Order: sequence, then C-alpha cells, then structure tokens
Amino acid sequence: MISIRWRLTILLCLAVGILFIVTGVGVYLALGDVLRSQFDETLTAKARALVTASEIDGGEFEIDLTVKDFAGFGKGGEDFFEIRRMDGEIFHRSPSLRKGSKAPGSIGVAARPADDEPRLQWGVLANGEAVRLYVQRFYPKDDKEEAFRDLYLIVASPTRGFESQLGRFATILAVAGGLALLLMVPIIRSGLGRGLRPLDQLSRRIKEIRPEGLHQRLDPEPLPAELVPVAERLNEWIARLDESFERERRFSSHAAHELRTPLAELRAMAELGATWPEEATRERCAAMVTVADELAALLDKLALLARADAGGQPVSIGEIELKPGIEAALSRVGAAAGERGIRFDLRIENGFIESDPVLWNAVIQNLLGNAVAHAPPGAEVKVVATRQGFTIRNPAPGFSTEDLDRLFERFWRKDESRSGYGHSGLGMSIVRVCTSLLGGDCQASVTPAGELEVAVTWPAGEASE
Amino acid sequence: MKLLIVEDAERLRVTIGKALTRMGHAVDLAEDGDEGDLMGRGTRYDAVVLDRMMPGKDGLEVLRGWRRDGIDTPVLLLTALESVEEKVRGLGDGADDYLTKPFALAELIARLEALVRRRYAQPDPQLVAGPLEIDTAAKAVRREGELIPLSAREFALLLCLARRPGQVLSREQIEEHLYGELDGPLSNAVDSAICALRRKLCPPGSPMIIHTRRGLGYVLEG
Repeated sequence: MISIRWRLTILLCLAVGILFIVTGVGVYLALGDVLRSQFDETLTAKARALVTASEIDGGEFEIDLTVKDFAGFGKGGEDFFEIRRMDGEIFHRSPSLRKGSKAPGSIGVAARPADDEPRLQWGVLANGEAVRLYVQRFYPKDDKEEAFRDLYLIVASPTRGFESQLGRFATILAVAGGLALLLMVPIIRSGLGRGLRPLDQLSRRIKEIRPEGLHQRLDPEPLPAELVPVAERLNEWIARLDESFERERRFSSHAAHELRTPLAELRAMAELGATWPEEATRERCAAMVTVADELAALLDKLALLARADAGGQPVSIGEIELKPGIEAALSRVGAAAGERGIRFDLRIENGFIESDPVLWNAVIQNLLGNAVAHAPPGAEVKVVATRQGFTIRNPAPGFSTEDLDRLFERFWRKDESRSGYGHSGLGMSIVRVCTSLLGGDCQASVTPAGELEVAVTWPAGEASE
Repeated sequence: MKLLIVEDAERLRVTIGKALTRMGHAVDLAEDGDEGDLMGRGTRYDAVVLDRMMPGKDGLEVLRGWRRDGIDTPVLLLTALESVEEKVRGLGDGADDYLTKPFALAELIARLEALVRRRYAQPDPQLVAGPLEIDTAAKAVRREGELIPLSAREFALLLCLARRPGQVLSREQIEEHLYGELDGPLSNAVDSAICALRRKLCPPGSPMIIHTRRGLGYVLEG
C-alpha cells in the first residue's frame, strides 16, 4: 500500500517536472526568437549598408567594400552576398564567396522576390552550410539609364554561431532543470513529512486505544484544523462503542445473575429434598416448579429479544379487537393489581387494529405488568387505548428523567431489586423491540406531576374500522 | 456453628438456611444488604454467607464496611459473576472464600466448615477431646473406637464445647451458637441438651467429660 506521503511526492514531482519542461521550452523558444531577431537585424543592417554602398558610376556598377563594416564580406570573411539578375545569373559576388581556400563559391537557390519588399529566409551555401538569407529587389544608386533594373541582392550569414549559442542554452536549461527535479524529490518528501506529521501522530494515538481502554479520548487541541473534525467524529464513535461495551457488560452480568440465581435455587431445593426426604414437601416441590416456570419465561423473553436482534422474529399481521384484547391482558395482571391495591382508569376505543397478535400482546402485557409491579401500592394507572396507539401512565415516585435513558435497557430496574420474582427487567426492552418490529414508535416521559408515561404509537394507515 | 445467610433471593435463602439447620447449625437469615450488615455487626457469627448482588447495599459494600471496622467474621461470597476479575475483586475486598451460583449445597457446607476450622486454628478436621475423637467432616464421634450416634444439634453442642477446651461457656453463649434468632429455644433447652449429651458420651461409671460450673456455665475437660 503506497503512503500518502509517497503518493503526494510523486504527484508533486510530476507536476513540478511538467512545469519545468513547459517553462524550459518557453524560455528556449523566446530566447531563440530574440537571438534570431537580433541576428536578422544585423543581417538587415549589413544588407542596407551594401545597398547604400553600391552605385553606378559612369555606367559601371561599383560597390565600395573597403569600409570597415564590410570586413566580413572580404576574402576569408564570414558574411556573403550575391547580386543576381532576375533570370538567376550571377551579376556580382562578395570576395568571401570567391577567394580563399574555404570560400563556398555561391549561395544556394533563394526564392526570387516578386515585389520590392525585403525577405528574410533560411537557406544554405553551395557547400551546404546553413545560413540566414536577406533577399531584396535591388536598384543601384544613380542608375539614370536604368540599365541595372533586373537585379536582386542576396545577403547570407551563417547561423552556426547562433545555433550553437541556442544549443548551449538548451543544455544549460535541461541540466539545471534535471538537477532541480532531482533535488526536489527529497525536499518535497521531507516537506510533506513535516506537513503530514499530525496525521502520523493521530494514527499513532488511534492505534494506542485498545478495546479495554475505551474511556480514552483523542485531544483535538494540538491538531491542525483539517483533522479536528476527524478527531471529534472518532471521539463520538469511541464514546458510542464504550457505551455499547458497557451495556454489553451490564447485560452479561445481569443475564448471569438472572439465570444462575433460579438455577441455584432449583439445585439447592432438589439437594435439600434428596438429602433429607422429609424436606421434599409438597410446597417445596411446587416452588421448584415455579422456579422452572420462571426460568422458562425468562428464556422465552431472552429468545424473543435474540430473535428480534437477529431479524428472525416472524411478524404475521392479523385483526385484533382492542377491547377484548386489552381486557384479557388486564385479567392476567388482575391478581397482582388486587394484591397491591392498584386501580385502573381505562379509556379503550371500540374497534379493530391490524397488528401481529403475539407481538401486540407482548407490548400490552409488559406495559400493564410493569405499571402494576412498579406503581406505588394503591395508585391509579391510566390507560388510553385507541386504534392509533396505547398510552399508560402511572405514578412513579423517585423515577427521574435521567432514568428514562436506561428504562428500555435490558435487565435495568430502577431499584435494582433482584428479588422481585417474575420481574426480570426485560419487560420494557421487549416493549421497545416488539413496537419497532410492528413498525411503531415507543416513547417514555415523566409528566410534571412525576408520573411515568409510556406512549406507543402504531404506524399510520394500519388502523381499520 | 452460628451462621448468617445474607441473600435476596428468598427461596435460595430459605433453602440454604434449612439445609444448614438440618446439619445442626444455628442459622440467621437476612434478605438484603442493609439487614445483613446490621446483623453481622450485632452478633458474632462463626461464618457468613454473603450474596454479591443485592438491592440496597451490595455484598461487597457490606464486606468492605465490616473489614474497615475490624469485623473479621469469615465471609463466603456467593455470586452469579464467575469471571476471574470478579473473584479476585471479591477476595481482595476481604472475602475468605468464593462460590459461584449454581452450587452444590454439600460444597457450600463443606466450605463453611473449612472456614470455621481455620478460624479456630484447627486445620485438622479430626478433633480430640479427652477420650473422644471427633471427626468434624464426617460428623462422627468415637469413644475408644466406638461410634456414638448423636443428633445434629447434639453434635453441634459437642463441637461448640470441644473447640474451646477448658473454657467455661455460659448458657447464653451456647444458646447463641446453637440456635438461630427464630428458633426461640425454651429457657432450659441448653441444660437438657447438655444432659442428653452427657448420657450418650459417658456411660455410667466412666469419668465425666462435660462439667458444670455452677452460676457460670459448662466446660469440656478431658
């Protein structure tokens, strides 16, 4: 896996390299242009001087090459000119073309000008040397008889020096660019390393957080602005993970307690009866059956929750008549309610609802059972059942808004009283799970009068007449 | 042995209590941490069975309170939490033994007896008192190799005296050791129990083992 640092280094070097090449080519072209135009200016000046220096004296064409400026055109010189007639025949040549051991002889073919405008073009000497040519129709001075009308002047200057200058420059550019690029790699890499250090530090600190040390948080203070939201989000996730681990731990320890205590009772009672047969009384055997039933009920509840968690709880919608359904649930808590003097204020709408009878009944039964078990003795429990929802309200002294967060937690009990047989602390979590399986919503609140209100709403559109 | 059971699960509490009473021990029951705490502070028990998770004060809280205040009654912690950390924590907080639910009653009783033996510095379950050999584990008493059948309560009474040889125990002290709070013994229960025990232990003509110190109580001298 390639690191961000290397990836950025490669990308930046590529970008810088391309930039170097483009700049280098631009500079090279611009410089070439400047050098060429300077070269052309010199060539033009020489040509103009030649035109000025030529004259017709007594019907004869003369050109004074003794001027110092024309040294290049002399024997062995580096500048050349030819004056040709329009039909191409050579009329006059500079001594540099004719004399000397290395004299090229003549200038290669150049385009004949159609007008009087001077032309600058590339060309070659007869010996193949590359030159820059100045070509112009040529009218000698004082040609009163107009005997030399059909002439044109070609001035040539070899581009050897100019080209070698450009070549040298290109080499310097390429070598400097290449070296700069080579130097750039470590510079960019170390610069990026420095810039990315907070990222390294962050990842090191994240690595240090172990599952058993989830109370730790990342300190966003020393981080650069871009990483602060990352650290904050991570902190949120760690907190949520911590909370869920903590819930898991509580669940395991409570589940162990809820399952092991009745098992211990069963075992102790059986052992007592086995050791002293006269202790195996009818009451003790009945108590053993009760414990077994409670264990079975607890396992049923845990199995329902596990199925719901795994998405394996079947939901089969049927028609339920509200009044008889709720009255049947009430009759099951009637004895416990009577014992504790709990009264019910019932407002049940007539009609049917579409729901899963098993899950719906689990919701209603657990809510009623919870109210009967936890409302103070003699309290009044208010029940409102409509086709849209089910609301139950009962006095809950000592129950605070902080408890609302944990009300639906598995095995949670306000008083942590574990001796309440048949009240495992799973009821409210079953209410929530079943409601959500039915597509409804379940909310708990504490009224200003200190009553606990649990409101279940069924999904809209499920109600039928 | 005089024992206290602090356990919030009523059926478990009553069953353990019953089994221990059957074994001839005096048992008191407490249904939550607060009650257990008060009872443990008010009476000197030979050992306490303390549930770890209870409403109100939990077992560890009670235990820490006792140890802080110098109450050194041996405590067997009873719990549903079986993790090593929990056991280490319980023992670290001053428990003398640890038993995970569910458990065998026989094991609970054996562990309690071992705790009490250690408390009275008698690591050997075999106790010798004069001509008597008492096997505290098998609950058997032999006189010159001959087994003497004793009821659980008689055995408990003998053990109570044999563990403190030469020490005079008042009627109230014996009563406290033999009867739970709810047993409500008759005023002469100890006297008649001593009388019955003497008859079984010492056949007519043989020297007395249990002596009466008038106005003070009873003492076992070999």
